[in-house]
Amino acid sequence: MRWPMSCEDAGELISARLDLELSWHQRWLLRFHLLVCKKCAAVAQQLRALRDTLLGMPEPELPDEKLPEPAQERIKAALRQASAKL
Amino acid sequence: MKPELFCGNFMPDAVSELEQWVEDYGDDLFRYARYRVDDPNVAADLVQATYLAALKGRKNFRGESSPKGWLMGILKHKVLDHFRARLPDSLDALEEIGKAPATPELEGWVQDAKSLRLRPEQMRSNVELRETLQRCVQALPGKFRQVFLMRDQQGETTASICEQLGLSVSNFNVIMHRARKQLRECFLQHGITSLNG
Repeated sequence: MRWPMSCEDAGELISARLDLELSWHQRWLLRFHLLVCKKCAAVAQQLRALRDTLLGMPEPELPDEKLPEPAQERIKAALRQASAKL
Repeated sequence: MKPELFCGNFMPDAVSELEQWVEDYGDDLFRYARYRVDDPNVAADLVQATYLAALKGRKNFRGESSPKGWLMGILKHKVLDHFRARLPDSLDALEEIGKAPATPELEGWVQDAKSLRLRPEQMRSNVELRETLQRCVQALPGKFRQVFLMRDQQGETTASICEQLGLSVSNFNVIMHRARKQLRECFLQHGITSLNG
């Protein structure tokens, strides 16, 4: 990664630092970029906030999603067929 | 649940028990799969593979966990197997999947929202924002959603996810970057009204 860092490169590091420890060099480049680029600084804040909101959030209920009746019947038939072979 | 039902030669009973479990837990398993894969037929196939694996491995179930918990554990592995076989190896292919549907009007929305400060406590306490966020997670491409959910919703480590899905760290980084970028744009496009309201 080169100096000065592009917003695209900064975007990759903004995401990567939520998952990994960046090298000293990467941290320094990113820190400087975020000081001078308000747009990327806002993106960094927003990505972290979205991650913190989602972390541990229960999965949605998806009430409309049900195992369709034909699939249920197909699974039961497959179970009977498989048990005959065991 | 009687553990002895699954020992010895009680296959007909085991089958009827599993058939009952299809009725009792089939919807929950299907919803778990459906949140991760786009195609409902694939989700139903994964549920079927789960019940068949449960039939084969019935002796491993001793009633220490609930039947639903045991089945869900099998399904999680089936979903991982599904994605392990399908996540592309090349960075080019990943880039192609992660391309967000950018339209000038939507780009404009995001431009306006660039300086907006998001607050996790505000988002968690607002039902509408939570639902918006969950809808945006569901809108991610299926191959990205699984990796994204493991990391940002379930909090698994990067090393563990790469190992379970057979991903290189660089491909993992590309997936997470694309997924987060797309999620942020989707959230800002659809959640601005609630945030400002």
